Amino acid sequence: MISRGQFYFLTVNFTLGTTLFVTINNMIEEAGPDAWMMPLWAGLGGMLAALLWIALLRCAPGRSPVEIARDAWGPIAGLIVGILYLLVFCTIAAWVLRNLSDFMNVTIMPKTPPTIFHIMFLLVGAYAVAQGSETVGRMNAVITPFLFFPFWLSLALAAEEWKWERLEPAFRDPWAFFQYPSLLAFPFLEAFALTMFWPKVRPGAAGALVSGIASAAVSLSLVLFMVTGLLGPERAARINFPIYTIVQEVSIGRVLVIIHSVLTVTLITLIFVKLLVLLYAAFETIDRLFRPTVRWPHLLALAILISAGARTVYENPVQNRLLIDRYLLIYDGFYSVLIPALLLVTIWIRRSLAGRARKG
Amino acid sequence: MFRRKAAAAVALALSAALLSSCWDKTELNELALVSMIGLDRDPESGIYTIRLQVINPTSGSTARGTPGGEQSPVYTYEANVRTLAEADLKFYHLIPRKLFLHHAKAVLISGRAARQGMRDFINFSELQPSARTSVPLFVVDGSIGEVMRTYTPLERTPAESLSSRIELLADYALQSGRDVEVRDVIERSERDEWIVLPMVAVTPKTGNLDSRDVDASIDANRNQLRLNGGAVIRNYRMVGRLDDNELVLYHLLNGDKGTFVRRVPFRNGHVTAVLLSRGTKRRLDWENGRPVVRIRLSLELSTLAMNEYHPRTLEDIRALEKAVSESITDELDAFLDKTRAKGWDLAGIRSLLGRKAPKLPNPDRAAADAKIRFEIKTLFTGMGNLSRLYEGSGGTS
Amino acid sequence: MGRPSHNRSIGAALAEHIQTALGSPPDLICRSVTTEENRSVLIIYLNSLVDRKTVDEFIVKSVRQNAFAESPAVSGSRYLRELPLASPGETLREEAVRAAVSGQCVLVDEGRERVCFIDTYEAPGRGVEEPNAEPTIRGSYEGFTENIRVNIGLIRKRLLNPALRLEEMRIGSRTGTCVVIAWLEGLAPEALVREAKRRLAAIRTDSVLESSYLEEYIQDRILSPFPTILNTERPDKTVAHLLEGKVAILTDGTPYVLIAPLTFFDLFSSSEDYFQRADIATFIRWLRLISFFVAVFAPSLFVAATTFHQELIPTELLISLSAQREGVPLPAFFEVMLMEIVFEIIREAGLRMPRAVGQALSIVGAIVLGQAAVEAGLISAAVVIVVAVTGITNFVVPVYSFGMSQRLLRFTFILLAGFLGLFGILCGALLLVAHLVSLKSFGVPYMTPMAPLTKSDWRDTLVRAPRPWRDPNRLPASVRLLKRK
Repeated sequence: MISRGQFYFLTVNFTLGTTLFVTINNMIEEAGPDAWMMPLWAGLGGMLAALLWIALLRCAPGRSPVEIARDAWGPIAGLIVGILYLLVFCTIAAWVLRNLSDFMNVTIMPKTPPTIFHIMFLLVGAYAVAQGSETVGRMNAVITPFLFFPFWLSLALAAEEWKWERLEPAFRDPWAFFQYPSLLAFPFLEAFALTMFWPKVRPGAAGALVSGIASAAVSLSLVLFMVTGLLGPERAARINFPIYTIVQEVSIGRVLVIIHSVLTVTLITLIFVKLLVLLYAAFETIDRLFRPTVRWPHLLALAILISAGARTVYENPVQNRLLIDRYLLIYDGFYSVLIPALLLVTIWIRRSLAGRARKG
Repeated sequence: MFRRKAAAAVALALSAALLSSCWDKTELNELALVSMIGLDRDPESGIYTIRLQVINPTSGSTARGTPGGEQSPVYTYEANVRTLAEADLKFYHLIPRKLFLHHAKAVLISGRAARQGMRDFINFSELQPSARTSVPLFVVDGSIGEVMRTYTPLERTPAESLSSRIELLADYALQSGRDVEVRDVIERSERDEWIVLPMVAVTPKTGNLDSRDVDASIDANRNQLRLNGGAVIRNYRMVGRLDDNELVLYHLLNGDKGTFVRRVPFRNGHVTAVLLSRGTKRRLDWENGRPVVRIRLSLELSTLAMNEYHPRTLEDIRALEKAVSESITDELDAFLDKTRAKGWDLAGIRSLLGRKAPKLPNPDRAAADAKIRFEIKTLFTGMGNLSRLYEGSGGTS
Repeated sequence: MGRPSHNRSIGAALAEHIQTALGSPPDLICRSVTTEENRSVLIIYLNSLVDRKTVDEFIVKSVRQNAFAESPAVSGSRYLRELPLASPGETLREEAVRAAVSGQCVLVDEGRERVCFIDTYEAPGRGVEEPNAEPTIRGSYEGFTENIRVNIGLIRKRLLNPALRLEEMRIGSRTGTCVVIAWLEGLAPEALVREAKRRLAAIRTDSVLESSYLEEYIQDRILSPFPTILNTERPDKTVAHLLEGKVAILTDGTPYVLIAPLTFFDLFSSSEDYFQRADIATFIRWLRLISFFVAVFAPSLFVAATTFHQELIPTELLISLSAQREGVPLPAFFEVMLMEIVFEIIREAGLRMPRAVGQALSIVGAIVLGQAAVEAGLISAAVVIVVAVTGITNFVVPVYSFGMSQRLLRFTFILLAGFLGLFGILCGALLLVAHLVSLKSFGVPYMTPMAPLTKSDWRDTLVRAPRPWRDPNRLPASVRLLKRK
């Protein structure tokens, strides 16, 4: 069983995951110095979505969404929904990996083939997933302090460069978020993958999920605030990986001038956590749908599928950006909002019909 | 059985990967450690000249105490290219090692290239993830080729010598500040603000310049580099320069913190005041629709170098503080008047308006019209080791 | 003498049987003693395994005075056991042979038609000495010996408590080694004791020569570099763990006692921590944690920094390092690997070699391999320093078997660093974390109290809180977890 605290940290790290690397410059480009407001609005949306998932999961305690779909819509439709979810989790995992290798190739390791990054992370992830949900939860709990402290410490060290002027003029466009709703989809609606952990979490996971999303939104907002104040909206909007630039320019005293490699490598652990959750969700979907007796062949197959997907999920960073801007909300909305909502409606209708039948 | 086979397969795959080439691996002795970068562009032909100063690791005394003999501590390579991207290739005609830019300590740009505009250089460097932008940028006064071929005494490389000098100048003369790095140029230019960069020149040369003879000379004022005034930059382009005295006033306005010395008129004579600037605050007010900018400066006054006069009473101190405030106000007013007459906005009025009143219809005019008032607060904080000056008659003042 | 003569032949036959079963060894003694009543009693024992004094002064004397005849048979006691001479031949014979090889005296009292087994076991062995692998400055200098009875005595002497439970088992079909499980009744979770007994009982092996034989059978996971069962040769440490509700397993013939369950952070605490002032002990614990990280990661970080991420190294150091590397023929990865392997070889040689040669070895190791290699330009000086530092930090850890796992991990990480730099180290570290959190020791998560998190237990993990600040009745989280089950 996973404790509530572990689930909370999983939620936070999952949501922050690739977000710290990918969309920061897009957000600052959209909203300038007010970009830090955007995750707050998006986080609210994410919390609402989480409430929907919780309502659904509470209908059938001990069941994961895939099983709920099978119970509600019958074995064939349930199987189709399950396979769709499996593919969604794989796609997002592939996306996450691709973001990772893009980042690594642009920054500290330009010549290493992307597939190497994919395979290494997938192997480690598969090992952890094979040990079960307890290992995933505990692993994340052990990793979190090693992420939290270096990250905020490096931002704090960079605070020497802080200038309030960079955040001015403030509140010119606090509603800028509504011009960039993809932020709702990525990362907040993707958190649906976490519901696959639900049956393994101790009671009271709802609070952990919602507060985890809230904390992630606040952290993201804080990160944007710091990035804007440290780099200025002009640079932050143009640089592909603003976090990298910040850690690149951090220095500890006069001796350790350039520590960005260490910090970068520490930070990509966040991406690993996101991958881990998605891999677990995908494997758990297989497990719940087909109840296989062995683990490793399925995990290896998943790893191969995902690493292949990572090479093809998009062709270039421009396409990535267009995908996120134009289609991601529709895509994630379909899987994370529409299907759960339909399931919930089905369950309610069935219950009321059954209640009426009992009365009659 | 399956387990064993799978483990064997994984082990095989891993060892295959481990044994294959390691893509980003570079041994230390395959690197050319670049310590200084020189950028130049000929305005007529449009040809870029890039110079790299590469550290020679085996020269000089290392921590092991073995002197490297007569080798030069740095080597300067030069490449003439039509586009910046070619520079990498061109250098490999000359350098047997992989260029390593992470440890560059200074970037120099020739005066003529700075006057044409340095945006292309900066875009190119920001595109390269390996190039840090937290490196000081210097504008060269005179020939950049000569600067790149000049040794500096004491420090191992000229780049180190320059970067440590701007820090000392910031701390002890306020002729430099924090905002002299490439990233500051980017940020200020993008916000349409002004920035002043330090300028480097070569001191007069004597002796046989082709060998290290110059290093054996005791006169360290010759044959080396000197920081000399500041280059005023707007929109990636150098538009003018400041002398050393104006540089102090600029950095004072810019809010840099550091010590500087001023001769201040006081009671029919002059006194030498050691002042420590503690930063500035700007406030925007409106008077009859006209913007008024109040710049509040706080200074700490010390009599450490004041051999003309020694305050005894509280009234003396108040009078001294007042004299310093007034004198600095006058100097700043004169400085701003002069620079504003040239159209330079070194006090950052335009960006203050942009931040505080973003909806202003014509910010440029408003900035030009803005009235600037200084509120200087001087606080007497310290004196030297004497409680009274010696009063014999052998002085000059 | 109204006794039928065929009884006499049974006694003689038994003696003969023992003799043939053991292959008439020279140390098999078969004495006939005549009692006051003029009965003759046959005493059979292995001369090398019994306490001669007991045999001569106690057994022979009592037999002569016919004292045994009156004493009632105490059933179940191993010191005095009686079987009727008329019991089935096979059972009797086997019992007699087993008794003889375990150092008991077999008394064949033909007059009373009884066979007595009296434990007179006294194995040759050394006395109680200072523990070799776990010395302390302050605290007891006693270490366990190879004699299980002495070891039990060393525990009992520190634990004058009737709740101490000892249960004997014989494991090993050929060696028949005596194994004793010790725990404190009421303190140790029943589930733990039950599980320990179950696992020991399930062992199917022919021999147990050392406690590591048992460890390999009863540990939770075979494929892991980490020990999941603690071994110690210190009685005080054993008692401290018993007092925390853990189980100790004593094996005859080895001074190493197994203690379970073990958690990762137990590996960083030594018994001396509890004998020192709390603040000093805390500092030393941190030192051990840091040494662990240095011992595992230093060479790999060096490889990663010098071959992949040179920007990490401060400029001055980078220049100096790259000056050292001028003319060094090997890539940094092989340099480090080579020196590490050479260091391991020197260490192993130092362990195995006669003491007298030790001096020569250290000269060869220090001067020839260190200084000369650097001066000859084969190895850069920095690599020698890195290897030396990791070698020293490796000895800081108080548990020797954990030191060995650190060595394995170190080589893995050097490989990963040579392959992918810091990214490789990250992947290795993540795998390590995944492995550590999935490990269990007798059902207790290995990383307790970090994952699962139990804040109250940090008082004796990263710090050693002074005793008055701690609840003396509170058991560690690892044991509490089992109690809940």
